[in-house]
Amino acid sequence: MNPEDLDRALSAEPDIVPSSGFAAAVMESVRAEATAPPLPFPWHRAWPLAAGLAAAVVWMVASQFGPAAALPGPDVFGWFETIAPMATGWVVSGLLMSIAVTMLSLRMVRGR
Amino acid sequence: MSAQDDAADVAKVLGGDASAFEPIVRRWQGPLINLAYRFCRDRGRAEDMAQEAFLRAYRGLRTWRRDAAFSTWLFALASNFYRSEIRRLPPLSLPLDAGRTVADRTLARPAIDDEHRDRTVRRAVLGLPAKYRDVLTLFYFHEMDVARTATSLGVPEGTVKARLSRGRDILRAKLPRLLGREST
Repeated sequence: MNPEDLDRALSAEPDIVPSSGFAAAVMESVRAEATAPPLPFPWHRAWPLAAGLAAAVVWMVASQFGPAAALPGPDVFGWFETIAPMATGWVVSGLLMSIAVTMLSLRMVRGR
Repeated sequence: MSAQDDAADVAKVLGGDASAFEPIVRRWQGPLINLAYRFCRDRGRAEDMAQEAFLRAYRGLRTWRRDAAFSTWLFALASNFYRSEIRRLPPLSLPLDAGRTVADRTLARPAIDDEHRDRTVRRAVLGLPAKYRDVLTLFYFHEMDVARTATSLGVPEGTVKARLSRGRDILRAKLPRLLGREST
């Protein structure tokens, strides 16, 4: 089969006609989409997390600057200083891994 | 004219009038269904895919930047969706002689051969690797326009030309075997 025959076979394809109810079916979906109430924010799931985070922040600040700071207690900033050098390596390698995985995924999705 | 109509209707939809989307559907239902059909070779599935593409277009109307024609944006959106849908659920690979009936044999032989060969060629496109299948499908849908094919796929024109050439080569290499099997 020569290239011209191939072009002719693939370009001369007869069109199919949409069924009579197609546009109506699409508009039904569109109207349902338009009138659907927006999804409510899942406060019942977000509240415990937000409250926990807020409590942790308050506790950290209070433990450093409050009257109890003079008492022996958990030294959060000292702990951060200890793990910072170790954590930096993990963060950088995690970041590089994320970038690599994202690029690979995008490449696969685009079919390149 | 159609481009102006599209822009006016989109403006109305974005202004809150969902029913203004209907003329858009009526204008583009044929091309979108036919494009879907070329990806799946199943009329019912093509309509389902086109319906979902319209719904996605409706949801994403705000993302249409008016530096390109509405149809360009719509075809790119639909092509992306169809390609991912076909990846998710590949079309059933029918036996190559499916759809052929006893009555076919009573027709004039050359007419059968041409029509049958063309159908085999179109079906063979579905068996190509995705990157060649997509380019060939969109290239012939866009009446052999490389630039429009490139825009729909979001790849450079050079990539389209290279994949077209390679896809045609693969197809031509496969066809003698397929057509031979058909004729037995």
